[in-house]
Amino acid sequence: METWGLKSGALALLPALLMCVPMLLGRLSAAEGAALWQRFTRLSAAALLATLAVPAVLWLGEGLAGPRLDGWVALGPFTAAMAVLVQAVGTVIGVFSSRYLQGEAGQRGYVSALSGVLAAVHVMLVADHWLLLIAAWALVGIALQRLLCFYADRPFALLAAHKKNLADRLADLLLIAAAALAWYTVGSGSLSDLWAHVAAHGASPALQAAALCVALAVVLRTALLPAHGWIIQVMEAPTPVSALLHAGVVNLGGVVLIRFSPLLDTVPAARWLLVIAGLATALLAGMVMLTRVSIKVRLAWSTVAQMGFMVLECGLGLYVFAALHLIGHSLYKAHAFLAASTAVRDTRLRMMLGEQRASLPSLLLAPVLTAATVLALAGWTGIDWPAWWTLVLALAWAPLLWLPASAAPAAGSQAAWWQAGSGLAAVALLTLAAGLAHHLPLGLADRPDDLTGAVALAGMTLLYAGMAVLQTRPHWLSAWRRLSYAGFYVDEFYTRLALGLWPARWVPPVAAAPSQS
Amino acid sequence: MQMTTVPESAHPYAPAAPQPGMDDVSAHGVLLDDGRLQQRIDDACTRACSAIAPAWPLDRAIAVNPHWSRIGRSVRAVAARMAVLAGIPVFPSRDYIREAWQSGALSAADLDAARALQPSGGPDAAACIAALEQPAALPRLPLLIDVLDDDPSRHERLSWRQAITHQVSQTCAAYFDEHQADWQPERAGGLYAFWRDTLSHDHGIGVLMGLPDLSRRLHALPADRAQAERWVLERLGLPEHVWADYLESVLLTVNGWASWCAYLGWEAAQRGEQDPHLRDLLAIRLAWGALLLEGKADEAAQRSFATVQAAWARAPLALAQAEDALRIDEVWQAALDARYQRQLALRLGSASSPRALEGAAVRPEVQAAFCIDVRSEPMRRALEAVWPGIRTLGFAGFFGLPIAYTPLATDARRPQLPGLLAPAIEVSDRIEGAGAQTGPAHDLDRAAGAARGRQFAGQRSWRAASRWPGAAFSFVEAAGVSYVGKLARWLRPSRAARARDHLDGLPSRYRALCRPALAGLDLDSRAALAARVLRAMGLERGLAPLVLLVGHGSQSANNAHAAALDCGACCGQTGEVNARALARLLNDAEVRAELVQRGLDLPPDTVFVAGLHNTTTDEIEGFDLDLLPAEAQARWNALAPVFAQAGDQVRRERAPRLGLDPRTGHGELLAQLRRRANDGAQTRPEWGLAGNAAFIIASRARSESAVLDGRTFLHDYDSASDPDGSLLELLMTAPMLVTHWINWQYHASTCAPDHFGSGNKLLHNVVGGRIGVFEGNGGDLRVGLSRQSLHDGERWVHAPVRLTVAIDAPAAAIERVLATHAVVRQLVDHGWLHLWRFDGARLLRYHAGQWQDLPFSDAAVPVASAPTVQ
Repeated sequence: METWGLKSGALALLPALLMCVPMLLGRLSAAEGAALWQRFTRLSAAALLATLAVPAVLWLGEGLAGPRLDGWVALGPFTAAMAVLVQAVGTVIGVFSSRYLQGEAGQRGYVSALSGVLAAVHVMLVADHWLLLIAAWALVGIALQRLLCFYADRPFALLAAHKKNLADRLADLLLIAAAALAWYTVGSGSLSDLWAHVAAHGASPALQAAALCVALAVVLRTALLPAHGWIIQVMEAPTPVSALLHAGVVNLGGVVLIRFSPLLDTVPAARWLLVIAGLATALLAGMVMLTRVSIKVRLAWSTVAQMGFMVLECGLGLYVFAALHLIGHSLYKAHAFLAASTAVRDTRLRMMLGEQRASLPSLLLAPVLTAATVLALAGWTGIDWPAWWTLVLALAWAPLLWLPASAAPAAGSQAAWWQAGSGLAAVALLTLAAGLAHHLPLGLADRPDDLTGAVALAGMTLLYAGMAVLQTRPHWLSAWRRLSYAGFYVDEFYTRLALGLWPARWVPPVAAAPSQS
Repeated sequence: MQMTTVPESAHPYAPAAPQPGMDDVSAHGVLLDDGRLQQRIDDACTRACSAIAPAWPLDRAIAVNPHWSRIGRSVRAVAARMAVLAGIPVFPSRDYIREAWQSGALSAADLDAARALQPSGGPDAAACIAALEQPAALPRLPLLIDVLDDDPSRHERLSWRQAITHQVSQTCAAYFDEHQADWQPERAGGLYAFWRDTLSHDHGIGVLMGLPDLSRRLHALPADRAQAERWVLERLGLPEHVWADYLESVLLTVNGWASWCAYLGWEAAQRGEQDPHLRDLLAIRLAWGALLLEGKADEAAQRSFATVQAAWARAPLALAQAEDALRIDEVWQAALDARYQRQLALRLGSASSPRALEGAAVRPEVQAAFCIDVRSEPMRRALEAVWPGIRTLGFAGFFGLPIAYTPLATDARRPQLPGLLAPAIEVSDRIEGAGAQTGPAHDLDRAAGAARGRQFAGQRSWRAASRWPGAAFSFVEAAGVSYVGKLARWLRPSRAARARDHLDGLPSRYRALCRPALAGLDLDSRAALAARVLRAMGLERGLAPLVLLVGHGSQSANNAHAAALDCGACCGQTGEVNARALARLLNDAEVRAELVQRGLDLPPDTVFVAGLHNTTTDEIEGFDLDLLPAEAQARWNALAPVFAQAGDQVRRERAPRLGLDPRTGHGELLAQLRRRANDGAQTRPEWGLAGNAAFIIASRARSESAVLDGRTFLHDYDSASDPDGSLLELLMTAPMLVTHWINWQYHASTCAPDHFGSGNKLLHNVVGGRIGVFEGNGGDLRVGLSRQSLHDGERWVHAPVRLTVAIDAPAAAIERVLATHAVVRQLVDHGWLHLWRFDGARLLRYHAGQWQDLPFSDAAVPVASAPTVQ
């Protein structure tokens, strides 16, 4: 991964420092309500400006004064872009919260914790040292915990927090182990030194073990199966907290994977681990998502599936796509959560649209047409992604060309042609957008691996086949629906284990049932 | 079968419905033959189920009194039952009253007035005041699952009651969802079978309940509903006269879903059918008892039975005790009512202005019919103040059209009438230009329908991209960045006008031409309908040249409960379709000719115009103005400054309660309210019907100069033109019930927010796309109003007072309605609302079958010292 030489490392920490101010304000200042939020908004906007200005200054300005902090912080195009993204999303969420939380108790604590999360994320993004990385990541979790338990009298909030805690601490241990192994091998805690060492000497068995530890820690922290339960259950916190979590925190594992790509590339076992965990999560959680009956839980399962896909892309060596996924998913999911209460209006609009199953011919033909479109466009624009990825994209776009099995009589066959036409246009547009985005100067390079790629393609084909059966012969899948509805029992197992290994009181003392007199 | 006997003498509480054969069972413990037992079980279950009031879905949210099926008892008796059976408060909490008392908002005079209403022997003032220091001591009866939940570690996990509610609720959500899950289950076997199947595949609930071996007990589950019902009533050995009460107590643990099932039952009944779901739900809750009992040793089981039996044997006593303890709360409720009534009486007493009374003889320039909704009152008052040429009247916002509306070229049919009625007439859209038609009318309809079909086809394909998992993965990579714009819009909401969703997908060239119209009625039925509506509205003579029919609608964004702010009389829709369809009907030349034939005195120059009052921004827009003749158009245009000025006055009046500065400039205040209306982060876009407290059925002259603070429903009524009292009967059996439903929804959501309120909006999670909300992850379905709709963060904005209905009609006419309609009689006699009557310049209240002077009508309290309304 490309990084800029830092004339002033301290400058890279400016956004984090700016966000520390509202964090302390929430604690120390007596400001309440609108005044408090106004200060937060100003500082948050300043931090957003800083995330935009700092890379420019570092890139343009030579010979800036200030401590260099070599070996502790580093900033590259990708992490700079991530900092802008997280701060932008955080600012929107903060401004949203300032109106949404009107009349709630505990707003100062909320401002403080929200700023704390953002500050810690900024430190984590620029961390170039194991210790800084581990500490910052742990701080993100600790600050977030306070937001997740904003309503501390809700048992499921506490249970979810407990389960998250368990996964996080385990991940901490794994990261510490990885750090110890790497530090011992390289002789330095600096990550830049680690990349240089790997480039020069390859990965020793100790570094391979370190890579596996990092991969495993990311699996735990990114809410992949089986440690996903908590993220499903944190609907017990205010909506913007969910938006922050799903858009700005849970995906940090992806940032770590992309930054560790120099190491992971040399350790096939770690890549296979990511491919298997990511693919399994994407497929299973994707199916569970389809069975969910409330909007926020559906969105949460969607995040789990999306995180699986993103980790899969890292395992496949498609780092640019993973980075694009991180950015796109953040923006999409932050909006989707904030707009969760639009669900009723959306249902009304969908009822006017009418629900229809897709016809069998369109299910079979759609991937062929989309494959032809993607291939043609790739050839025309000179996009060079692997053939198996072209097919994955073709399968992905196919649902846009599904035509209703029975056209509404009012609209007639004309509507079907329109749908096919507009669907094809959309496919072309999306493909071009993906191709264009692939050329964004993020300073990353793909290192695709064909064997794991074939596995991923097989998995996505299976998913498409499942969707096709669901459209045409849903009763074939009724046993699978039951399993999906039960979340494949993974979280039951995890909860049992979590409460067994680390018993916790997760029910606040309330008199819920009448006493026996 | 074990039966406990209860001496009849210890039975002060008499259930409303007769109890067949109670004596021979409880007194003699006779073993019953199977058929009769089944009959009795059926009766008990039916009675328990009939106690649950329906809850409408979110997209048709209308207000319901959650105690609607309990009005056969006095409020205090219901309060006692709710406390004993479920721990649900009905009266305002003593904390709330104490605060009002200590702050001086409630005065000694209010307390005296309240005590005057009580029969002698009630608590004295000192006892009432002393009682405010502690909550009422109310007994509570346990259910089997509470008694079984007795292991020492029970405080470290969910109580079984909570866990069972959670599990039943999740299952119901999966069963009833039609619009959220893309992968739907098979549910052919009914709700009970579905639950049984779901539970047998649920390995998680046992962990939460501290019962890891739960799945090994499933064989104990009753096979079907009948077995479950029978199991509990036979095995538990409760005396038969408490069966229905026990079952109601069980249903109240899942009151949200029970209310949803009751809604399905209500809908089915309108179609003349029966709905099995509520009985299934009851059976599910009972079967949980069987399951939990399975894990207990025989001895423990017997002990549990004995505890439940002993507790429920004392049920009549407990109810009597609770009813007695609640006398204090009843007095305080009356005091709270009196506080408001004192002002209402004062304001109405000085209201009848000479101008209003003499003005009736002069033909007004404009008449404007508004919905009876409390939010119409400030607007009507403002319009009248701004321009004396306008006369306003109040009528139910569906304008008497019992319709269902289907937008053009869709199947999305929806009712647009009060929930008490079933639609009888269809309304559909017509595309119609103002000038000469360019082709046959139906060609335009077809062309617009096809255009909409194409738009929808494109939308469908775009929606697929984020709906299916494989597509969504790559979709966010390619198109996720486009959400930057959407995210940025949360920063500063726009000032855009209200979105009109029924026009979604129609190209803009058709939007202005798309007009709702009655379908499938011949001239005769149309004229009959028109005549009926005009008579009910009192618009038979003296019509102005311009008659506005103003429906109302709210404007809010990202609001799951938006429909609750729209017109309840239109079943949670805006009044647009009804007003437009009626205006079209009444402007129809054929219908007008027929009406004149029938002897209605409709001036030929009178034109009807449909409008909509936006209750969030207090703007009024007109519809189909392009179809108006030139003079009518000129009249409408002349109204624009009137609307602007009146709207400004109302906005200033509302501003302080919304936390806005009422001194802000005209344009700026409107801009602030428009932004608020489009702000998806705003949990309080407007206050809806909060504060509602009275319903005045009288001519406008009775209230015209009174400032009623947007707390009163106003329906016009002139008893002189209703000699047979049929109109009064209609008003007291339809709009009055609707206002009572609204009043008690606000009351119950305020006094029992955990049970009849939907909780915190910040945690709301829409279930099934439209069924209702969960608060967070799960728990019961939450019905009623959210905390944010009633409370501004510092104090309750709604004061839980009972509705005062003031009618300007002869005593005999009112009493005739009371005598004929048991429901109306119950509402009045059992204290669910107050009934007043205008008697010349006096107001009288109806109490214990007599018309009495108001306890404060001597106006002993000077106006200046009257406490503030809220």
